[in-house]
Amino acid sequence: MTLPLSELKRGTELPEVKKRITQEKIGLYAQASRDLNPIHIDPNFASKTPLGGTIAHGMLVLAYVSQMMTEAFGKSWLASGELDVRFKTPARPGDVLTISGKIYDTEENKGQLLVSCDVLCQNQKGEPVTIGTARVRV
Amino acid sequence: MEKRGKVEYRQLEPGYELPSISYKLEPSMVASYLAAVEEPNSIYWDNNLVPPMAIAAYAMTALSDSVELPPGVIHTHGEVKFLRAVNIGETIGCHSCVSQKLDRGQLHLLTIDSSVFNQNEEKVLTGKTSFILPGLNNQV
Repeated sequence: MTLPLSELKRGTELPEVKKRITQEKIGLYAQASRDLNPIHIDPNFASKTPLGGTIAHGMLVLAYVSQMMTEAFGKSWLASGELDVRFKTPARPGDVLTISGKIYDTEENKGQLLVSCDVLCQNQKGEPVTIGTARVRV
Repeated sequence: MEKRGKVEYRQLEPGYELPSISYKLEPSMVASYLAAVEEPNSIYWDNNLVPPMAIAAYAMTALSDSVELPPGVIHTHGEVKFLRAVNIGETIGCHSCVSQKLDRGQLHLLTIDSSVFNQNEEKVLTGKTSFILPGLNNQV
């Protein structure tokens, strides 16, 4: 499902994505992305760091944000998406992440609509995991 | 994928170009990635497309494959621009360089800029990723 053109206006909320983080999922992502940093996959190592335990890859969280954008904008996102985020709080095994977004601006240019969105990933405590913006040409 | 030797963190400086890497985007790679991120959208298989965030992730392996980094590196900031869709079966080349390096006391920040091209030399993705690096006292 992609948002209909009539919904591409300021204030429209993007379809939320919810994900539960587990160590197994982090391990699967480590293998798929080839990022085997022990802070993600070695609980013994991670427990001795200031983080106190393993954390999910930042790129995994971004993949979830991208899922939301793909759901909202379809192929337009895959061919013209832009994402700019800051990582605020690590996502840890056991966390439930909610990825949300809202259109804050639209601008017509050369027959295309440039849609700008705020995007946010929060954990179950309401803490921001990532916060930033996304843009797409439709 | 092509693999070369690793350099040490202290050898990096702004402008340093990491060894380029290339991948043929096999269906099995895409399948593993889609399973790992629990992607429910059929748009990729329906259109023979590679998730662009998978390409961004593969591009980042230029760093882990070519630089000896301490364990515990974490992301602080990420930017990515998708410039054209990429099909399963295409071959991509990833070029990355150090755009910023900051060593101040215990604070070590590294920013990597990346560009990814398809086999026709068309740019398909650009990215900028910043990291904090811990435990570098003996390596800087």
